[in-house]
Amino acid sequence: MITLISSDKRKFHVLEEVANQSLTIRDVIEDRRGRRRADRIILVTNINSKIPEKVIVYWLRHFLMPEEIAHASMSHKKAEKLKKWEAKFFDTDIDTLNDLILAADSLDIPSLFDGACEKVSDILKNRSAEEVGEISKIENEFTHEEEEEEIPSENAWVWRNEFA
Amino acid sequence: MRRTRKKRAVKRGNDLISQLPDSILACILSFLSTKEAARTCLLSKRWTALWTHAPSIDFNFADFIPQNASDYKEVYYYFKKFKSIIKSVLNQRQDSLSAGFRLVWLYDTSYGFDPSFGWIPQVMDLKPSSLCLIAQTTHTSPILPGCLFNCQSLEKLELKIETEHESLFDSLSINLPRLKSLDLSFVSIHSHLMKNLLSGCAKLEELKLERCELTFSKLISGTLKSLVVCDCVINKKICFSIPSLLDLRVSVDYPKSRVSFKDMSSLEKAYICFDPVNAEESDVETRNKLFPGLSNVAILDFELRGSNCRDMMIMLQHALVECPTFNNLHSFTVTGPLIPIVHLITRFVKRMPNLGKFIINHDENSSSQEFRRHDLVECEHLPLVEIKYKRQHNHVSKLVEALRAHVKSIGEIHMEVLKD
Repeated sequence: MITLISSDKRKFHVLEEVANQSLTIRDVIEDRRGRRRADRIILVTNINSKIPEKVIVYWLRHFLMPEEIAHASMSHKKAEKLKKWEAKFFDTDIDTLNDLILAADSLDIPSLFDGACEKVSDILKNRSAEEVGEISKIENEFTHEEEEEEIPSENAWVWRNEFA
Repeated sequence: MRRTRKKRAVKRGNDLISQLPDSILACILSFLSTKEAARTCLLSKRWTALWTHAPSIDFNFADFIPQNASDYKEVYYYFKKFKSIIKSVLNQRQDSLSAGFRLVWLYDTSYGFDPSFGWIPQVMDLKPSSLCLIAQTTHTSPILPGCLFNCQSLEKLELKIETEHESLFDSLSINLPRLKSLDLSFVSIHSHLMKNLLSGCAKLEELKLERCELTFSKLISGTLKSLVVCDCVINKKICFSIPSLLDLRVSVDYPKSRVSFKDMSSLEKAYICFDPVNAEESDVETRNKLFPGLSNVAILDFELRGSNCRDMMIMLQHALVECPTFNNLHSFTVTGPLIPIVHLITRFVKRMPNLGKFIINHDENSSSQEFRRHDLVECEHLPLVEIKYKRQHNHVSKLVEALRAHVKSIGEIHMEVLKD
């Protein structure tokens, strides 16, 4: 059993086999193998408690269905089910996705990282710049002239033949 | 069209997405097309150039030029502009193109403007894993630099450059050690080039030749798993000998193109399409070698194009003389006019002892030949027959009748009417 501690000091107990899906954690455990029990506590300081919950849910779902099996010999039905589950899992607000990406990046969980990145790009897809700005709350620091003239005319092709 | 934008009311709040490092944002953008990713340049200053760092870049000239552009000057302006955009994106970039580069530059050549390929060395410096070039040019000299064919990182290469110059890369040395998939169009491939290609691409698994001129005489490879040859001009005998091949798709202008197969021991799936032109003109000898090499195939899809049934009959008669026994074949699909199909059944089916599924796509245009009952030979066992046809024809019912009468144990016969 491994203990993860989030930035707001909440503890999460996870089975080692499950947490091994994070390449970072796997390396840490590998480094500390054979040492005292206290070393089985891992601080995940850059993540608040909401995210480890989600990450562990994701791990557990994937632990039941290891990656190798998922690709090679999983039945069509099971693959479909996992896909549905993942779609539901990633169907959250952009802030959570954002945290998930950061967590997946620092804990090195490739499938979670790709899944969350894809979901964010789905949100950005087929939207105008204003909409994207509003969703992601990106601050617009262009001056009025730049906004009205320079940037749109420089990059006119990206809107061409689209929003006619 | 220029978009007028209202000043957006920015909610001062936690702009979480901007906390992500550039590399992750570029990764997110890689799930979008380059055109969509480029729209984020309006978000803020940090995003203006972010899209140029995505792991893959995909440019299409059709996105770039307005649909109604017809004026000579205007078209010229967009050619220039497109070139400068490609150049500036590549100049800014330092990260490798890990997911590849794709460029489609097709435009009415009657304007006389040619795409430029001067940026290729720059792309190759960024170590792309895949490269796709689709273009049309009036250049009459080779335009592709040698560095394109000497790249350590390339795994997938697609070249479809329509040019008036016969050979795009003639005497170049080829060294693409990681290349797995090669897709060529509009290239004249002679023996020397084919040899160079196969020796330079030691890991090649997929080869697709479309609308090429093939003048080599043999293709021998131990690594190829998939081969596609379609709409090619073949004026010489070609012998394919690829023991590792799993999947074969060949469409030939038969019998003008004399294609033969040898040593296809691991072949699983084959699609062969014949387009007979003048059956009587070609010599019998080469045609006989068509089927022997394919005897291990498990799924065979056979298509006859054209409407001249007489030619097809002659051709099939010749082609089937040395027909082997297909011991592994369990699914057989034939598409074409009914009369040659019936002819085919009579010769073929008895050489397929383990056939489980037999699909007939009936595509009849004009046929007045009488269907002869005795053409059908005795066949032991056929669990499933599917017949698809466009309109009701008395040949179809006669075929079913004959199948029922002559196949000893016949399973289901599915009939389906295709819509035009």
